[in-house]
Amino acid sequence: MSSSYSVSVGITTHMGVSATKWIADNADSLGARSIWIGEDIALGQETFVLTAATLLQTKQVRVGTGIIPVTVHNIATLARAGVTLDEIGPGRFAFGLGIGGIQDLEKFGMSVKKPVTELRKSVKTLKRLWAGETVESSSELFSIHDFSLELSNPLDVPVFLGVRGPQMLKLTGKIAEGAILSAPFDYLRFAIETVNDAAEEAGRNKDDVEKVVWVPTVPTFKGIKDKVAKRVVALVIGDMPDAVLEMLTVDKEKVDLIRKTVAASGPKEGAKFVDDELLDVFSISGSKEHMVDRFEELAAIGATEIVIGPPFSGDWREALVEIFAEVDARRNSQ
Amino acid sequence: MKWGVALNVRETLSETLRKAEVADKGGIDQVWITDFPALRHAPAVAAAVAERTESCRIGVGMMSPLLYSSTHIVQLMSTLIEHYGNRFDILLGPGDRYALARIGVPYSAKLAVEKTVDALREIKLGLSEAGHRSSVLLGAQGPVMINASLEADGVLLNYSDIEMIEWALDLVKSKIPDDFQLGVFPPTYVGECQDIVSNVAISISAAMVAVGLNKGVSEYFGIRDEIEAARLQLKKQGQLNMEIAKLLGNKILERFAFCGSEDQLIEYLSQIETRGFSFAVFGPPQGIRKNGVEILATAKSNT
Repeated sequence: MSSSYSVSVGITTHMGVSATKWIADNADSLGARSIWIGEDIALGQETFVLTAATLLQTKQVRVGTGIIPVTVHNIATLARAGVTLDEIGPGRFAFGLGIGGIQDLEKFGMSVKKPVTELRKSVKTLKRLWAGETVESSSELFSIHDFSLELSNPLDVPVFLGVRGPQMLKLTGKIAEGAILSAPFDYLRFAIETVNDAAEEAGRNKDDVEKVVWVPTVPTFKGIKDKVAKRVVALVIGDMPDAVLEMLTVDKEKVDLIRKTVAASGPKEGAKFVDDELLDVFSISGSKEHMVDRFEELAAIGATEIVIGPPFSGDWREALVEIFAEVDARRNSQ
Repeated sequence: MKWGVALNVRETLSETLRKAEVADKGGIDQVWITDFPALRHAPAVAAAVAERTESCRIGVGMMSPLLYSSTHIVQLMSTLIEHYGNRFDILLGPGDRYALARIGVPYSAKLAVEKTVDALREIKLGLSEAGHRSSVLLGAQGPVMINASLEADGVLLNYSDIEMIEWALDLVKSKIPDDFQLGVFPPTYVGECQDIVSNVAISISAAMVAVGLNKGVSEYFGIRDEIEAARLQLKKQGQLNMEIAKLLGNKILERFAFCGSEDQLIEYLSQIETRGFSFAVFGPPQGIRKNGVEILATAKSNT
């Protein structure tokens, strides 16, 4: 149906090298627009090295971090990594930033009193540094004084924000080149509209802000185990802000139970309460035809890019090939 | 004697990669990718260098445990090794207090030592548990860090003076474990060098190391007043310049840098080799110079 959206692959630092290498090796030939790399704090591969390696291994795809939490890295490290990764893959690197998942931050004893302000200041500071300015700036998490990247030419690193709550969505529309959205379908409609409205209020064209949708994709037609999918959905529910959940027409009691169980005992226990209905609300699952139908529904509400991401289980390599082929076939039949 | 060169100081990535290739093909044993206050992120640059080179070892650092957690350093080293093979070593050190202050990283002598020594243990353990055989080295100047380095796989002293090197060696001589790697990492300029102060690049690099010297050590060598005066000026002016380097003068700057001809370099290396040193990493400005790596490769081929 629609050719107005791109399809990408999402990986996380917790994945093994052979899996991430396979994806980097095949992304160009699959026809992926991007590879997005999510940082699982302190787990698996180091995020900047994995991003560098993925850029070095690919020729055409965009490689983006999706996301790196500003809460766990020094702002100068983020700025320097941005310069380096942009030089490794000129014009192909996108810097996805966010505050970090609630569960992760709690696990590492971190909290941010004013997350929207923090993210705004972080992005503003990074953009000033990449513009070649000498910067004096401080926030709840960082302070830099008389610091410059000594760039001979300003850099234009596109910034994508991984956001969910209404204020964060508005911030993205105002200041970022893209949003990375992960939420149930009902909420995504609201999220995309909010980003678009904020962009236009800020005097920008709404199409200048990409809307990348990354929800768990579960290709059950290639042997992925149900329990793996449910575990991922439990984790997603556990991390979902109240503002998002309040807008959904799902069984609130069940969702609360899952959140409490995930917080107390982890996603494996929480998965026991995830049923088929919740699986469908919080993930894109089923046959390749059904999955691509869902992609098209997302494109129809304004998503510009859909990410096929973890859980990578069963024969996921073949599943990726078939899903991309299905997208291609529909485009070619138009 | 293994030769190394420090890159990624102020160069663009493409310049670093070009020089790394020259080093690799020219028989330089190690390429060290410096981190902060370098403006490019060393681990990502190291990945690109690994992709472009074949046989040289790749050192990451110096990396400061005040800026990166031990977990993060183990993670980045493991990722480099898993992608590009067992070619990577790591150099740890607290880093430059003035540069760290500019990016909001708290620094005190006590904190610097404690964090670096804890990180050294954690990183060695973490890499060993992951089955990686990287050398974990410690950059050191004063007695505390030199002694702490005995827990590392080796030490890199960032001064060049033979008297100071012998003093450092005396501190640990009886305790040095088998296979411990002794190395130097001085600012280096190979070429015409009658008078160090007349060469801005090497003077600034040498002054940067000198002002970081521990007070007890400067007292011991009778250079405390000059170094304190330079440090005071640095605090006032915010950055190192030739005025500060001149306050230190030729004699002091020479203690912290190698500045001389190819023949003098080979003679110098032979002097430290007889004292048990097995490697030298040539610090800036040698790697920053357009043909600095070519000069080193030629010198090495003549040994």
